Order: sequence, then structure tokens, then C-alpha cells
Amino acid sequence: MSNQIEASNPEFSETQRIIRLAMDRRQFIAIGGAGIAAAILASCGGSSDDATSDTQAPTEDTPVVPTAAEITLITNRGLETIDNKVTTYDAQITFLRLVRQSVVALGDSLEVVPVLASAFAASDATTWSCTLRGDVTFSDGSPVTSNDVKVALESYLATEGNSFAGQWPEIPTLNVIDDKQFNLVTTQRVVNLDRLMTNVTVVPASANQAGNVDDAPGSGPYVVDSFDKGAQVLVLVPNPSNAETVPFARITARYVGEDSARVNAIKAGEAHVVDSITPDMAVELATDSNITILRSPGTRLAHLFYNFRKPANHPLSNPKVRQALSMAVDGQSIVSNILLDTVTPLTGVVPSTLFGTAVTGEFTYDPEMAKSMLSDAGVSNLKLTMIWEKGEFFSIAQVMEAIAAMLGEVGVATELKEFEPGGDLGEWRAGRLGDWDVLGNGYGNQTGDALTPLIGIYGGTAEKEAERKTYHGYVYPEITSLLIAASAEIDSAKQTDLMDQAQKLIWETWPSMFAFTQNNILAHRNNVSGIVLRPNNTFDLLKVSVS
Amino acid sequence: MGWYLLRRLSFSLLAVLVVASVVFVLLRLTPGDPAATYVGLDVASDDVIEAVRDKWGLNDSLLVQYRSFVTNLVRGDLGESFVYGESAFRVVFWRLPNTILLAAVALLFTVLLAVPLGILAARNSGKTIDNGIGAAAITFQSMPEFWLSIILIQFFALRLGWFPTSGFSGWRSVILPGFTVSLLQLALVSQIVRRELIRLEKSPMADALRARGVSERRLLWGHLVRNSGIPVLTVLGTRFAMMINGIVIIEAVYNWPGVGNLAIQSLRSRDYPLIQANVLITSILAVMINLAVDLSYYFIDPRVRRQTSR
Repeated sequence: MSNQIEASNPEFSETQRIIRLAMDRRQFIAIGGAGIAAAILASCGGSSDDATSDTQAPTEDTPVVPTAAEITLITNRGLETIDNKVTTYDAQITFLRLVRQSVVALGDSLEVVPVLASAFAASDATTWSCTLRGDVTFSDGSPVTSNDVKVALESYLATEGNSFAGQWPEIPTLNVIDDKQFNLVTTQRVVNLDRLMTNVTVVPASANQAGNVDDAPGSGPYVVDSFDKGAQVLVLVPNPSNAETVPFARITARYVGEDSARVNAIKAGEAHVVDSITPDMAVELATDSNITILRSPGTRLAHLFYNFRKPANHPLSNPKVRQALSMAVDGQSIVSNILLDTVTPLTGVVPSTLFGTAVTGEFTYDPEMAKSMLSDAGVSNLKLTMIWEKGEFFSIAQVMEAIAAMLGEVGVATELKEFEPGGDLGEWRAGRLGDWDVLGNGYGNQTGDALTPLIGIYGGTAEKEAERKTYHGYVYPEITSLLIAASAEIDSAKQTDLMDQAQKLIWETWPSMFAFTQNNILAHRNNVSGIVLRPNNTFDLLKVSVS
Repeated sequence: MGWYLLRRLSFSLLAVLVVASVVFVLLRLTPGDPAATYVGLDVASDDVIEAVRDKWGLNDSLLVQYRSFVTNLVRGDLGESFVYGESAFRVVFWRLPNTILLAAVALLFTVLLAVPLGILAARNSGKTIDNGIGAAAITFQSMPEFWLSIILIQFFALRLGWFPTSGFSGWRSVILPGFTVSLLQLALVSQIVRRELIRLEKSPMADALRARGVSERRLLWGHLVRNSGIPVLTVLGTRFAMMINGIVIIEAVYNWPGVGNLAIQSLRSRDYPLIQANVLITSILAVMINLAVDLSYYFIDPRVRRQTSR
């Protein structure tokens, strides 16, 4: 029967007649199949490349193996933004700062080097003066001015969720003198203001605001060619407005979450550099003759920190007890067998790679002495609750389990609690959900100097503790006074002396059961040269070449 | 037909709303603080975290948050991703075409592999070939996705260099993950084809056609295979709908920029709006696909049309 004969049949409903006239099954299958084929063909062009468009259009195929004029980097953190007002993932600074620059930056040895500034120095106790370079412009051709820096600083500090903003001892007032000169004024001396400013990247004032801003031009030697937020791929090309000689015609940065995928990508030659690899990935990649592993001492502190919010009569309130517990831990065994020699035990209270760190002592393993000290302190049947967040550092669970076993040998029982990332650890740390004794934690560094973590961890005051704003209740007024004095001291020798005194006193309080610095590990193909891995897990990409 | 469509759509959308609401509540009852995850606990103070919680409305009561969610949903606003700072709807749609592409390719491979294998098995029912195909298909289905993916990457990408190891960089990069997914559903589809062909081969229709002198070859390809298509279409449709929700493990191992991978990232970061948007959009799509499959019977199967017209 033809469609028309069936459609005229009075037994059919109106809807069915309409449908029958419109289509039969062969047409339906043909159209449906064509639709699927069209969808496949349309999507085969590749991932989208324009984060600002409402829909992502396919791009042309990108080569799997990069050429010598290009470099591909794989990063282990998400690429959701090219701004860094909220988070500053260290390794990503390597390529993000090629687009957006700050007034000053950290050099290969974490020294402060001028970037947008030709001069940046303390002119008196509470004033830092800055002169911007006359030749520096944004990629849209507009000059970088003092007002741009002013708005950048205000936007950075006003961004909600900027956890690092709290580490500024005081918010400076930026006074614009002229387009190229300004000063930063504080009421108290902020000795490391230059280092704090390395985290403030500058874009045109008219395009800047609190919160991450992705579509504003930068002043760096590269510009964003495409930023696919869906696939988390960032492509940079040379900035035509920038006269600096650059080594690459194209820099591609990709986020790859899975460790196995990152290993496979560099082994297959799909990437030149993979940052922040784990020790077990390093072991696997070391067997590949086409790949080189680079290591450098890091700046990230990892420690097992005691809870200082204990009653005065609690065993953990006694520094001798804390010292004894530390002596029950075979740190070297943990470093070698669990952490695969990828960390450096601390010889002070902050990482030795930071400016101003003092050597104050080292962790020693002496279980017999530990037992003796615990006995002398009248401690028996002690039980500790140890908490941590999964993934805080490599093999943290195994480390905690090993320590629990070691403590057991000196008669201390332990309860271990692991929290999922994003779980309730914050509530526990604040003491709102339960009591704990030891916290496995990491503490990053964004300034390259020791003063920042010293004040952040050990500079607690009674006023801050009343609002639960100290680092787990650590309040020693004498230490805090020394640190505050150090942060205000102009004379560098006196400042060093004050910091040394403070660090010695801190060490004697035995704040951590064990502590170490996580080393940075990076893998690159052998045809890549010139990478100098800094302690803050970055490197100068402009000095790198690919043969 | 029209009423049927309307009824199905209404019930389907109601189901989607229930799913979205359940996800909404479960997220907020799950331990964890998205603000603390976003800001980072290393150096952040409580007031910084509280400010972010206030900004995101997380300090409001569950009822207030839900009312706001539903009100915005009615307006088509799925909220702003905590991590991306972009519309959650937009973030999901950056990734959705990639998952659809992967699912379509996987479906294509499934049809190309499973249908011939099912036919071969049916034609040699009870023989060694039939048993071998069944065993192989079940073996692939039983393999852990993660393990199978890694094995295929190691061999075809690393050793032979035929395909990229991960990511989406052109048509070659979709073949290996698509092939992996198809292997995992080979058993289901090929066994359905086999079962249907065996059943139809013994049916009165086949006897009648043989009596009319139709050759076995024409009987198979002209009638039996076509008539076995309906249950196959059903399972392919439901599989496609399931894949739209994200082939999570495959996408993770292959670093495929799809909604499955997005689901993992958003769960890790407790990005509530993004999780909700992901669930809502993929659920709606899955419902629409299932509905389309159901409706297609009307056009494909004359028996359904005759039943409807009575």
C-alpha cells in the first residue's frame, strides 16, 4: 500500500495520517542514519578551542608528535583558568607567566628578579618604591602603567577564596606617582613585600576585577592562541608586540589527570615534559632510555604536626613527650623504603631551600631513649589519634601506618583516620568534630622565603587563637615577638639573627613528630635541554630548547 | 501517538527532576566542604573559607538552597561552576559532544563486530565456532575496563604507535577508546543477535518462506537479519543512552575530555553546580534517546503500527 492510500483510510487517526504522510520507516531509518553519520563527521574535527564561545567548534587535527619549534607540557593540575588569583599551582607558573607577568618574580635560586619593574626596592622602613620599565606593553599594544599594577593588587587581594591573601602581614596602599612610578606603603615594615608581589600578575586595569579573568591581555612574550577549557588544553604562540626572542613557535600545555596516561604520553613522545611526577612514575620512566628525570629540593613542607590545643596536663602539652615520640620514629627508614628517597628530612623547622632558614637540629631515631623519656614523663597507656587527608603527600597512608607500628614498639597506641579530599578534615582540624593528636599535613610556599611559613605556622597569638586562626593552637608569645621583630627589621644581619633565634626556640618546642621537604620531580624527553628545575617546581621555559 | 508522546515526556522529565533532587540532597549530606577544597586547607584561614561558603550559598539551610535550585532550574539556570567560574551548563556542553562522539564510535564498532559475530554464531549454533565466539565475547565483557584499556594502550599506542595514548587530537584518537568500549559490550549484542536469529530461523515465517522457495541465503539476509533488528536496536539504544552518562573509567584512562572525566573532576572538587548540571543534562539526554528508541518501533515495525491503529 502506498502512503497516500493508507493515509486516506478513515480508520487512521489524524495524527497517524499526518505521520504516515510525513514519513515511512525506510525514510526514518535513512534520515536517522544520516543524522548519526553527520554527527560523527562533524565531531571528528577535534576538540574545541575557544573558551569564550557558547559552543565549542572542532579544530583541525593537531600532530601527535610535536616538532622542534614546539613544545608540549603535561601538567597534573586542572587548567581551568590562566589567572592565579585563587590558586597558584606551582608547575603551571612555568607557562602561565609567559603570558601574564608580575612586577617581580622568583629566579632560579628563588631570588627576587625584576620583570615588569626596572627597579623595586625598599626606600624606607614602610615604603617600597617601584619604577616600571619604559618599554613594557600588553599584547594589545597598550603600555603597562602604575594604575594597572594598583588595580591588579586590589583585585588579587579582594578575590574571595584567595587563601594566600591572608599571608600578607598587612595590605599595602599603592600610591601612583606617575604612569611608571608608584610606591607601596604600609604602617608596619613588611620585609618580604617584594616576594609577596611576585604572585600579583598584571593585566590592563579596565579588564581586571576580583576573581579569575581569562580574557585580558598580558605583557609576556607569549599570548594565548587557544584555551580549550573543555579538554583543558592551552596553546601559546609568540606575542607579536613583544621584542623578546623566544625559542618556540608554539607551546602546548595539557592537563592529564591519570598517572598512567601521563607516563604513556611522554613515553610515546606525545609530550616533551611532564611535571610533578610521583616517585613510582619516576621509577618506571627511569627505565626508558629516551627520558631523563630531573629532581630538585622543593619548598613544600610536609609534617606530622601536633595538636597544640590540649589541656595543660595532657601528655602532648609536654615538649619532652613530643620529643620522645619523635625519637620513636625511624625517619630514615620511612624516607628510603616508603618515600623512595624523594624527600629530604628537615634539619630545621621550615624547608632549607627557603631564604632565611636556620639549621636547628635533626630528627633522630632512638626507641630506647623514647621509652625512657616517656617513662620519665610519667606517660603510660598513651593513645594518639592521627588524621590526614588522602593524597596530602606521596604514600601518606603507608607512612602513617609505619609510624603507628613504630609508636607501638614504644608502648604508644594509635588510631588512624584518613579523610577523602574535600571531606571533613577541615572540621576535624578545627576541633569541631572530634579530638585529634597528630595531623599529617603539607604547607606550600609561594614567596621563596622562610618568614612566610614561619609566621603562618609559628606566629600565633592569643588573639588569633581566640578566633581559632592559629595553626592548630601553636602560640608561643616569645617566638611570635621574635618573628614580628624579624619581619620589621631593616638590617639584614639583625633580621637573620632574630630569625635564627626564633627558629631555635621553635625547634625546642618539638612542633612536629617528623617533617621533610618534598622534592620536585620532572621528566623530559632527551631532546629537551636547558631545564633548570627550581625549588618551587618551575623552570624558565625561555631557556629551554628542543632538538 | 501525540498523547503517548506527551505522557512519556512528562513522566520522563519528572523522573529526571527526581534524580536531580536526590543528587542535590545527597551532595549536601555527603561529608566534605567544597569551599575548603576550593581554597585549600594548607594556608587558608576559617574566615576565607566562610566567605566562599557565603558566596556560594552553602551556609543557607538545605530547604533554602533547594528552593533556589528549583527556581533557577525553571529559568534554565543551572548555576555557576565553583571551579571554572563559568555557567555549569556551558562547562558540561564543552565536554558533551566529545562523549557523544565516543559513544557513537563505540556503537559503530559494536555493530560492526557484534552483528557479524552473532550471525556467525547463529549459523553454526552448537558447533565449536559458536562456543568460541561466546567464550571470547564473555571474556571481553568480564575484563575490567581499566585493565583492558591499559593493555590496548600499551600494545596499539605505545608498542605499535598506531594511535595516540590519550586525549583528543583528531579522528585517530577516538578509535582506541571506542574500540575498547565496543569490546566490553560485544557479548551482550552478539548474543542477542544470535538468540534472535536462532528463534526466527525456527519460526513459522521462516518455514513459510522456505516453502515459497526462498533460498537460505536470501532467507538469512533478506528476512531473518532484518527482523532480528528490533531487539538489537533496543539494546543498542539503551547502551548509547548509558554511554551518554559518561563512560567514566574509559574516559579517565584515555584522558578523554568527556562528561565522564568531568564527573570525576567535579566530584573530587565537590563542585556541586557542575555535578548537578552533569547529572541533569545527561539524564535528560538519556531519557530522550530511550524515548526516541521507543518511538522508532512505530516506524520500523509494522506490527506496532497495526496494534496502535486498532
